[in-house]
Amino acid sequence: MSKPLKYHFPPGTSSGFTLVEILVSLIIITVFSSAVMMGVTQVQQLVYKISVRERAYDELVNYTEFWKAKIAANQIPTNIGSDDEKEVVLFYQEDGITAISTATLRRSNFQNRTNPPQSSARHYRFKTEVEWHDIFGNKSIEPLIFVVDQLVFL
Amino acid sequence: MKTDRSISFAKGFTLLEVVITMVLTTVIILSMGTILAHTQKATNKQMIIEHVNNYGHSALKFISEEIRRAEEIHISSILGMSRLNLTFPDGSQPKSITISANPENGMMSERDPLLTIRNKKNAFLFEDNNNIDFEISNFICELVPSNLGLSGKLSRHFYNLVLQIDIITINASGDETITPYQFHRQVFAVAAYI
Repeated sequence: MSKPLKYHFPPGTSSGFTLVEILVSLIIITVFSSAVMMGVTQVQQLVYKISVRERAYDELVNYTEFWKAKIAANQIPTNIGSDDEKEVVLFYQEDGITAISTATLRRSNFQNRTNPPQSSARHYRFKTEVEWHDIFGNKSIEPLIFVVDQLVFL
Repeated sequence: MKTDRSISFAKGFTLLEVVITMVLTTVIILSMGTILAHTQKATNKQMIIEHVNNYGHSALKFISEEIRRAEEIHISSILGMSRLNLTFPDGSQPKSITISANPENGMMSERDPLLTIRNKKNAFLFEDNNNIDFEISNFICELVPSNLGLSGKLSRHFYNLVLQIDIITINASGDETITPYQFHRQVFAVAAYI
């Protein structure tokens, strides 16, 4: 008959972990894992926000270029004094149809800055801006704004 | 003299303890290795996305500036992508340039890369990575459509530029995942208009 296994432990030690030790270990691991996961998530969100902002900036540049060209070519609408607003999609879902992030482009503060007023060198100033919503539905904290001067080409 | 051997053996580890420790250590090391590999892969991809972003923006900015100062703009098509012939005013150097897209080497001016960076002749090329690659899949330069609200001479001097760069990721089973990055810019050809 074989002899049963017998474990020897130094005096004063127990044969396993106590409940408190396991709980403390679990809490430490949970806190550490949560911190790592939160850090990763925050970085991912930050990267996404930057890409949305870059895209919104591109749209603002294109919109501003459009209005600069209109003024340069003297194709100034009769209602130029009133503000213009346009909605654009920054990002679509993978289906290419559903928008997940949109922006609002706005032209305002249109001013005739021709000086003296009877001068043939007509000069206008206007403001363009963009505000956007990201995938999380957060609105941009501050809009991006351009203040632009443009001469009319004769 | 009699010695108590059981006390001296009790200070060591049993076979079971050693085996369990080794198994746990292996699992932890493998997990850490997997996490590090994934992190490294994600970092590489993020670096390439950043590189592609910078390249796309810089290339379109450069081309826009060249279109603005060009007196004559001629657009042709080669392999489904646009090729621009720009002629500049007298006294400019160079007098004209041809801009085209090469899927592997990026945007080209004549036969040279359009953009260069320090210590590197071609800004499009990036460090070799076996799992992540990228290439230009589309470059279009065309006049804006008439429904945009431009008319007359202006509608013949306002261009739409689109550059698409695909990031190709190859997974462990060899399947390719293509993520397109599209850059879009509108530009008024001021010199040609005047």
